[in-house]
Amino acid sequence: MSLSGQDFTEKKSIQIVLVATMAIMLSACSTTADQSGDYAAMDPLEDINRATLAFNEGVDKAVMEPVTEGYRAVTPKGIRLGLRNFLRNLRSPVDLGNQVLQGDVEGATNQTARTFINTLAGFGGIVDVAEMGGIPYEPEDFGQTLATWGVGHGAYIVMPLLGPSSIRDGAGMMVDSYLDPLRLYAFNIDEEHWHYTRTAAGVIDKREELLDVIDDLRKNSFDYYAALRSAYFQNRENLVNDGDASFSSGPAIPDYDE
Amino acid sequence: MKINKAFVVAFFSALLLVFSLNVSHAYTSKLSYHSPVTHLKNFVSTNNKVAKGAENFIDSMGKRAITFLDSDMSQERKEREFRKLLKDSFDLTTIGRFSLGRHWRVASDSQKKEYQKLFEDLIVDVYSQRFGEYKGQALAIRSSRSENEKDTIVQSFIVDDNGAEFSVDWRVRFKNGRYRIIDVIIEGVSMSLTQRSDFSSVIQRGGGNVDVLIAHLKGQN
Repeated sequence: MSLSGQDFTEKKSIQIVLVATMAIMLSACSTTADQSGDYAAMDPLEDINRATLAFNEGVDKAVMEPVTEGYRAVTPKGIRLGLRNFLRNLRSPVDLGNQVLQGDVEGATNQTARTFINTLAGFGGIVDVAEMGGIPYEPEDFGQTLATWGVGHGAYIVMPLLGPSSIRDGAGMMVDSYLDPLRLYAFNIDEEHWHYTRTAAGVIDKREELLDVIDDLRKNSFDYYAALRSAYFQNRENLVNDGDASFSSGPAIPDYDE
Repeated sequence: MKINKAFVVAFFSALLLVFSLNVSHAYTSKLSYHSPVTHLKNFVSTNNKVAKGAENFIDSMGKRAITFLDSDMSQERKEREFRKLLKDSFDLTTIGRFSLGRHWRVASDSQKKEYQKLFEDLIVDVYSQRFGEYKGQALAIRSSRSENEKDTIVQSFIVDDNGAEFSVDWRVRFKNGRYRIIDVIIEGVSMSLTQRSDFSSVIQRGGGNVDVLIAHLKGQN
């Protein structure tokens, strides 16, 4: 690391401000699909996105899916769950920071309690003691924070290798990873490999979590691209509302006999 | 190492801030949480019976499914039972019509008829296959909430193989004296809406005719 700490944070914060401004500008012209289910209006780059998805599917079928299936087959359930809990605990500063930025006092309190309980009583986060005690994990990211600030998605984007996202959520992801204290720490002490190992483990864990969901969506849709896009927007909406069922209850369905 | 110290300080001041805010929150929440409830009281009490009924309906459907999924019936018999249960519990006409979205209005009567028939088969196939992968997980009801005088959202959760809990919400409609499911929402993703997005894209990319979708449905079955 050639930069001093001061320069480093300044450079990064300028980049973050730029990214955030770009996100807000781009989303100003966004439209929402509401309950029509027609998300094509939010997808001006559909042709490119379809090509990217085709590429991602190729990579996934050749590498990611078999690797994760192997991981599921050879690793006992308890170990997989332990790794997931551990990785979630490492995300604590990012989750907490975003809860605070969203002004979610209850969420931030829960997140803080979770970090303390799981780190101390859960062997460094391997056991999710807090969840057993009734404080479930609530994933937060800067894309959700932007959403609570009123920023729309902007265009839908399928990112190479990373999959479905949007201008807003993609920008949010960059902010989260830049500002992640654990990443900054690993880079500062010249132990970048910690960060990369953790990222790789995170990718495998996430893909394993989604194995059945993606399999189901692939099998049970005619146009997988459109179904995935729809599921992405709906799932993000659900996360922004913290899974609160007073918001997340799907579309209103008319009574067609009336 | 300057930056690390700064982050540690920021992290712990954020914690302090959160705890102090929480104290005040505990006081104010007592006041603010009650007002919307009293406001909605009338609405809730008239719909309580329907909501409770919907909850019982989902609960007994889950139990009925488990009795034969867990039994030592032949796979064929299980599937037959399951199809029957699906047809009893799901309002396939409503789901089918919703899934076609705005294309319903431009479809001819014969297209509508053919579509509805094929759609029914598709849903029964899809769900039989989904439940076919059933490995003994139990469906637990969490709560229910009235959407309007007919519709109730019954919230439940399933603990999967890996010990992960995922939420399954059922939109149940009470109509003509009976309860039927019109949507299943898994982790915030509505099956009916996702189907509608899928169908809409197939039709639009196929030139706007419902026949394109019908051809796909025929290929599937």
